[in-house]
Amino acid sequence: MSGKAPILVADDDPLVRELILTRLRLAGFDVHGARDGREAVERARALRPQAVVLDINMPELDGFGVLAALQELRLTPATPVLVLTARHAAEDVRKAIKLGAKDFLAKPFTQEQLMARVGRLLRTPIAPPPPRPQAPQPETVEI
Amino acid sequence: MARGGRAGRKSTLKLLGLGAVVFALAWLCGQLPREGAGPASLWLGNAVVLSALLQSRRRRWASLATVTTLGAILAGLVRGESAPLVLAVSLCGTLQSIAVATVLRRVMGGRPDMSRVSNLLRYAAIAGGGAFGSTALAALLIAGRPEDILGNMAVRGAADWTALLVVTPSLIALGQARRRGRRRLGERWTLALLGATLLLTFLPTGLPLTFLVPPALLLVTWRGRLRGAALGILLTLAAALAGALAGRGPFAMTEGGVTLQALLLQAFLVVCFFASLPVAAQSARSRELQERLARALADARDEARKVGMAQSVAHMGYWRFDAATRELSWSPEMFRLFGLPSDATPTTAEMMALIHPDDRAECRRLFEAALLDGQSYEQEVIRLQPAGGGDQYAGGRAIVERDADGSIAGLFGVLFDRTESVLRQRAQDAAETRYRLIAERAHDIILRADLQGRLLYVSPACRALGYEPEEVVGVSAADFIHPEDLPRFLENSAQLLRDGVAAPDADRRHRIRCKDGRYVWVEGNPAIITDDAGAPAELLNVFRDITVRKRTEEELAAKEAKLQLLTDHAPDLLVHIDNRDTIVYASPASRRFGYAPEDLVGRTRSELVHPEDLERLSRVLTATVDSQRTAQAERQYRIRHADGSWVWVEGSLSLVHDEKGVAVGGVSLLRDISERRAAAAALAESEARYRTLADNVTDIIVRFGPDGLVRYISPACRALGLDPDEAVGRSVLEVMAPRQLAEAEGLVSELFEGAEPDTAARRVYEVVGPAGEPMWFEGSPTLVRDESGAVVEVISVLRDVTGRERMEAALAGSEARFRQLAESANDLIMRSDLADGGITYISPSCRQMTGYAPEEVVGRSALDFIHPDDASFLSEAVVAQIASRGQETPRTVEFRLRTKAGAYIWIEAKPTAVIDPTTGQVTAITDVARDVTDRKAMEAELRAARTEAESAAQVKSEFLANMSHELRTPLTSVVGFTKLAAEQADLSPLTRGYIDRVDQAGRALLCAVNDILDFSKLEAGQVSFHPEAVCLPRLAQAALDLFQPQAGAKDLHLAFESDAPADLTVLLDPDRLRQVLLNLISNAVKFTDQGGVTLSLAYDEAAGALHVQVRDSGPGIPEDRLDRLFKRFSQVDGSLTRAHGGTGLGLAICKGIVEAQGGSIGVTSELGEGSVFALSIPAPRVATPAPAIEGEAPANMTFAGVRVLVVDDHPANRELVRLFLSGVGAEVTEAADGEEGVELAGDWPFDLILMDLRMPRLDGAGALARIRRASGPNDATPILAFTADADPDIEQTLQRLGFDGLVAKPVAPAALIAAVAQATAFAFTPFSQDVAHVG
Repeated sequence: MSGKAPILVADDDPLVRELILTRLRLAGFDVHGARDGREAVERARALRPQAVVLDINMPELDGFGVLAALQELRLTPATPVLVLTARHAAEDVRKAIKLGAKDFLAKPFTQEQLMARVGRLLRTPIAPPPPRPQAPQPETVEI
Repeated sequence: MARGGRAGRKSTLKLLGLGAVVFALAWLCGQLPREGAGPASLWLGNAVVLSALLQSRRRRWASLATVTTLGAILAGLVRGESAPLVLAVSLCGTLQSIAVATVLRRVMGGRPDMSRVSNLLRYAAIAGGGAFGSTALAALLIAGRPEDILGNMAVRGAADWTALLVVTPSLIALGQARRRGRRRLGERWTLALLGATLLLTFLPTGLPLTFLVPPALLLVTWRGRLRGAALGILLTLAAALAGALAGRGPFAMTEGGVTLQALLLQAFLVVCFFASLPVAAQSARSRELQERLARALADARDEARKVGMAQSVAHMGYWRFDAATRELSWSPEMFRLFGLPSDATPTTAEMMALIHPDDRAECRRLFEAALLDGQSYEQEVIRLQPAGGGDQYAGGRAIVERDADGSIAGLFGVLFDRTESVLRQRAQDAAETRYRLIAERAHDIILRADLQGRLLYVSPACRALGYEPEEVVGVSAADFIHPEDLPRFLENSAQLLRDGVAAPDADRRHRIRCKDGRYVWVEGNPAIITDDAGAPAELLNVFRDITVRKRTEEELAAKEAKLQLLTDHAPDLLVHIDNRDTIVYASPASRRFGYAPEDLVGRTRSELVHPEDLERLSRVLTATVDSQRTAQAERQYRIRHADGSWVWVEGSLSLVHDEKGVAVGGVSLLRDISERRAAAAALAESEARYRTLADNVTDIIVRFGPDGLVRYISPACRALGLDPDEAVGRSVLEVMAPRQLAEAEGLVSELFEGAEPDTAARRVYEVVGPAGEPMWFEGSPTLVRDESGAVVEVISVLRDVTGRERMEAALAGSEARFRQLAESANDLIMRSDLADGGITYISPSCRQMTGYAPEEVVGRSALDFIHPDDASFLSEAVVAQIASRGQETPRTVEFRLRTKAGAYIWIEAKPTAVIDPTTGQVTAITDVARDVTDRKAMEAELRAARTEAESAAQVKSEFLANMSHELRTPLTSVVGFTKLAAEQADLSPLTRGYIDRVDQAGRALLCAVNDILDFSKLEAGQVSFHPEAVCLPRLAQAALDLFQPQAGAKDLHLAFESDAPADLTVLLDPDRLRQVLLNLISNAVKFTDQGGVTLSLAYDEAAGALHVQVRDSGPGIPEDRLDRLFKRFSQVDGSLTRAHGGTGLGLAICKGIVEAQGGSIGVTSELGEGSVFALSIPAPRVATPAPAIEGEAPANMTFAGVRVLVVDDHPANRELVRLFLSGVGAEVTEAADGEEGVELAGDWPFDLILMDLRMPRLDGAGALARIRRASGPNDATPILAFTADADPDIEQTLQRLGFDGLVAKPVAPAALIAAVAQATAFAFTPFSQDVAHVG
């Protein structure tokens, strides 16, 4: 399925960002990446995305800073934001929620978890990736 | 502007319209039948132009003339006439119109009024002149063809003149009439009649009915007046024109050519004009005059009515006497004045008879004189005798009327009623007479003066002062006033004049001079007499002689002043109280109590006297009053000072009686006795205090006289077995110990001889105690001398020092023993006396320990030998001991002490305070010090070693953590992208194989890195565990299966044994358990070369513990290495590490993980046989959801990562949900009521909320509403009602409330899981997955 507005993915780790972008692109979304918080805010302002996947630990401007900026821009709470946090960082989650995030996903996460969270964020089920032609080891690998 | 523009447009349109009319008329007139090129029989253009000019302002004439000229020229050209002729005629016509208009304006002024016959006639003449003049001018201009013009000049001029006569006045009259009024009814039907007549006249061609027109026109004129006439004549003109054009009508019948017909037509129209407009003008004129007359008559009638009214209002009538007829006429008011009926006017004689005889002759004389001499006259008051009786007064005036030749025609007179004013004047006169009588007879001097103070009248009472009234009138009143009183008098007068009334409080007493020069005191009572307008006119004053009163007052004042002097300066407060206890006077001494005298006046006793004293005082006062004595009653009480404090006073009251002997009040004299009382109180208090002191001190205080007998002994003497009362009177020596008796006797007599006792030397007396035992008292005697200096008494304070004396004795023995002990000890024993500040004793061991001889140290401070850095340790301990007076347990302090050789040794000491048992004061510090140098050195080494080790471990942990993180991040990407690659559909089997390898290698690497991270976390104690419901057999089997490839390669057999149910589900951190299992299996596979590896699982239901064994058939582990096995970075054999790889952390991590969860891990091994690694972990079993939902293949269903919030006030319900849902991997959070649920939902995203309906604080519906309303992380989260409600309509109700579904209580696992699955289906597609998490 293809969303009307794009999804913005902000993560400073190029590999992780690329992985998420690829996953979402494969699911049919129009996706855009941002390398740091500052870029994330700029792109969000320009793109008016339908959802944002936002890493908390980023240089320049961290995820909390981005959330605050999105509030300032009045993009949240209308635009749902999924924050990526460290594992067991409950305080970070609460802080992000206070700043307008809608959901969180702890790193490292499986791709299925990511898709489930994005699905909840958009209130639309996202089809799981097509099964491998031969699946000798059905498994989930963390990314 | 817009309006101006619009008006401009309108006038332009009008102008163009006029041009068009002129054009049309010129053209029309040209069409009239005429003779060849001869002139038209009617020329209407000029007439229209003239009327327009006359009705316009002069400044518009130019444009009017231009436009109309152009219209006329255009018409001529259109008609096809020759241009020069047209030009000349048109220009002349225009010139003519302007000239005529100018002349008319000059002659008649402005717009001519056509309603005047004279104007019409003048107009006819001027218009005629203009018409013929212009025709002549035109003829001259076109002289080229004189025969054309001259021959027709008359016709042309007549045509023009006729039109000017008929059209212009009619149009102007119409304009006037339009301005004046409305159309009259009669006008319409007469116009219709005229129309009919005109039709009858001009339609037929057989009958010359011209004569019918003028009568019809007259009828129109009569009914329609000016406008009717104008309309009628225009109508006639139009009809005549139409007839001429059509060749019909009477004139068409005329034989004799066109010119004649034209002349007849013109004559007809002129006649019509004269038959209508002038007639109408004349009739309008007469009608106007009639109306004016009627108005004048009405005015006159109104005037007469007003005159009548004026007469009756003014009570004034007039009469007239006609000299010729000798007749008298009266106005109606005259009849009223004389009280006569108004039907018959009396004759002159009758009128005279009605005048009072007193005035009658005079009246008659004046009347007749006026008739004779022609003199007008006036009479002020005439008394009348009205017919009805009574008094009537009138004033009268008469004037003489003369006729044209100057002879006397008659008399005209008025008579006005003056009865009221005459009667008022009489009353006034009578009153004045009465007042004058009073003034003349009064004792007081009554005087009137003008505003300047000059006397106008003085009553005869002034004779008392020696003056005659006549001699003082005209003199200024101020001349009689004593010079000292004059300013006051003048001031009073000025004030009176200023304010209109005398100031009530002014002192109006002053002295006036008698004729013989002496002065008497008078009191004035002035007033102002005002005139009719209310302005001051005169001053009135009444003087009363007050000399006697004044003298009495002065005497009284002198007495009072003396009294005042007395009271003012008396130190005591004098208060005068009336019989209601209210102060009416207070002397200035009240200031001693903080009050101004006037402050006290008006206060009552109860306001001032202390409430506690009030009743007592009242009693005494009542008694005084009752006894009717004037005698004074003395008492003391407190009164309130102005500052709120209480002052003791001594008061004495004297009653004041009136003449009848009744007490009417009292005079109270109050003396401030607070100081006196304070002194007395202080004395008593001091005595009491000392007595208390003496009675309560533990020392014995004794007073005795020269005879040695006790006069007083304090109760403390009971310590000696004495009774203080009994002891008095006995000898002080009785208690003395016999061996001191003589000495004591000597001392007593010495004291009484006057020898001052030596206060410094304390004397200790031994006395016999109550049980005969010896007691010691320390005494300090004081001598009491009489005035002559002789000692009369001795006061001695005796202190019991028995304890001290005994202790001193004991101490002496003890010290000897301790000294012996100290001398022989190895430890250093020392003592510092606080008084000296230095060491007073140090044991001989000092020499061995420090190299100092004891005598080198004594006298110096211990601090002199202590390392400066440590000195504070010791001094703090010492200070603490002193501060707590030895109550605190002595602290152990360590410090460095400098030896004689200069080296430092470590000393452990315990400074202890020495307490003086008698005073309780710290007198010295003792210390037992020990050399601990060796121990200190050892400790320091240990500490250094530990710090080093700790920091090394810390650095390593941090390093590992950092490294692991750095490695992990790219690795996750490797794994992630590998997976993406593997998903590609078009991979060749070979590529797919490679990718799978990369995937495996990546995950293995990730695993190793995770190991390192985990271990460093474990070491740092940072690991947290997250138990979930885990299906154990499945997890174990999966772990074992992972090693199938490796085992296969080595031909090893992997076996799984389990005595637990296949679906055993326990609460455990699955990741951690898996980690341990993988590690153990991996090791086993790694080190085993033949045989196999068995993983066995057992679950102890009772203990809720999991037991796992990994057995291998490997080489086994030597017994002495077994204990090192679980330590970090260790393998059994260093060479093995190289052979088998691995981090060497595995078992250490396993141990850490297991132990951190409360479990244990161990190993047993037999060389050559194999090893068994066994672990036990507590893992509570949870409900197995599997059977309940078997039909829906739930075993494959997982809700891993699904976050569920369950809100229910029953803990059991929440627990149940937790069990069921965590069994399928969901994360369950609990809230005990709606409030808590809302709070939790506000800061944590959930995928599903289960909400009980009935809860305390906030129910389910309320909580739902609030969660939905807040734009938090759960505003769209599905919320299922969790209820036991069996209401069939419940689902609808819930839907209305906003619930997304329903989970019925009691909870059925299948239903619950189905509901969760349904509610989260939008995001969480239930994957069929055997989760094989790595790392």
